[in-house]
Amino acid sequence: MMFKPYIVLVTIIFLLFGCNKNLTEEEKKELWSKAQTTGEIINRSGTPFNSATDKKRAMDDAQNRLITGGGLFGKKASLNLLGGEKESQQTSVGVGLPINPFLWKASIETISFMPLTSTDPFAGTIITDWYTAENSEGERCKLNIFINGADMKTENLKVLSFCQLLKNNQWVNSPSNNKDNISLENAILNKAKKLKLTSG
Amino acid sequence: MKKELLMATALVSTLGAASVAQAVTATMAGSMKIGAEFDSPENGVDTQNVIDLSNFNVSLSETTDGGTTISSSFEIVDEGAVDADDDNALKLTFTDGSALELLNAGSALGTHDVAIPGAAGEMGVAGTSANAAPTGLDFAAPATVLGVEWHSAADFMMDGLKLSASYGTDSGAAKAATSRVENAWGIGATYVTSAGDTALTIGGGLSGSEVAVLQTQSAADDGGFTIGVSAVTGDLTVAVGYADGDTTRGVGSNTNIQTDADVLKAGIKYVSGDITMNLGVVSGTGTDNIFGGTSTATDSHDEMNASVTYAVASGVSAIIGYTNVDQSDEGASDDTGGSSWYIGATMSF
Repeated sequence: MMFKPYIVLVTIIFLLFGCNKNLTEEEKKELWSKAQTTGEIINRSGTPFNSATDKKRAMDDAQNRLITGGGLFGKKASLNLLGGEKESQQTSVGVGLPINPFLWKASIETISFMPLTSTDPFAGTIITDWYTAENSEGERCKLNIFINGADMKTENLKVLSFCQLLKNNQWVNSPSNNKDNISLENAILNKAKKLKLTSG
Repeated sequence: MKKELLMATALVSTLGAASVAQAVTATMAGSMKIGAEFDSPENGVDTQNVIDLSNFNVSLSETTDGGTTISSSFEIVDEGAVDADDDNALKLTFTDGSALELLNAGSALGTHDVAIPGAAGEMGVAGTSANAAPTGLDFAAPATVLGVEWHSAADFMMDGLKLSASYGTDSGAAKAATSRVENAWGIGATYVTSAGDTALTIGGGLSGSEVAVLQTQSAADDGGFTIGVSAVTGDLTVAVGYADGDTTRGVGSNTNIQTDADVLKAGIKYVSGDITMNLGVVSGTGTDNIFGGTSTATDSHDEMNASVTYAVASGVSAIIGYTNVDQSDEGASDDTGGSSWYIGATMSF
């Protein structure tokens, strides 16, 4: 076999992309959470199936858990056979919280760079203040996020963005961009799935 | 009895083993797939099948006072043609994040192959058993039950790097009528980094093995490698991978075939809310010979597949998938290609 060209190729890729310097622990964690080797996917999914025994079985179960945000009863499906001290992981609704806590936390974390004017975990509303990005000084936006219900589903999440443009020293409304709203909803939902998987 | 207990305590202390604070934790989990498959072979009658695959897993684990987690599990499998009880490796996970799998361990090459997006679902086009073209990047990842696999912690030696190494040997029994892996080794690495908003994963591995062949009373040397790159940008994942290697398999009493094979895979995954879309292509070739033979005729497998998965609830997904396959055996097009649909649900608990 001719390993040499491939080893050279891998070395070049390392040199081209080997820029993992001065990464914070959070950034490293984020990188590993997106690693796409079969071993990493199986590890972070919480599937109990072992790839050495049957890789297809392990990967299929891992993908199902990652897509749906865990098993029917949470990441580790821990129906503790011997009972005892470990809490059931079936609980997805916080005490007294009528909305999905993972969607709530993911929403807050996703828009953590924006100032907030109002949050109500019982009504499931998050309303931000106006925010102007560094590279678009003539535009400002605010978000209204609504979380309904206890299930971690897209239907239970609604993001509405409102943007204004600065014209003649006056802020005038610009049409809402539905594509951006959907992108934000996807970002929140993906973060919620990760939070759920790492919670259990 | 008291004396034996004292001796046992002394032995544990001598070995430096940490005491176990409480009883082992036993948890159960499993998955179930149920759906319908619609096959349309190139030369044959269309068929419809019900797919019903169930697995049940019991895991045992405990963490010692020293922080080492000891775990293992077994599975009860009801997959139609495959009904089995499988035992998994005894795994030690250390406080620094590294891990060691003892017995029933896999190949390090198979741990670090890049996951190429491809259709979910249980659709499939049956090929002939003579077709030796591989479809997975880990086709050259042999392992034995008497094996160990070591995994480093994340960010081992440099940020973004993880390594694994594996080795296994056979039981020492006499050579059998068909081929058997006598020993196998593997090494694998995963490197993660970023380029702008894109998270990159580079994964690959090497493997080598000796396969006992009774017919010639000698051993076939097999080996292989895989390399792949995956890029994740927002909701989009794009990946490509390649594998090349030799494998040996027994096809009958004193008949062993060595295959020189390679496979190229590429795929795209896009996630939009509760919907995940996958598209994948596979192109594999394999030149198989009776051990020591010189035939150059090649088998091939070319496949395109796609699926849409909807996350219904936590642990429950609905899948609709499609695949189309073209195959040839010994250089001649055979009639085992075709297309297949699948619609079904997968549940994990």
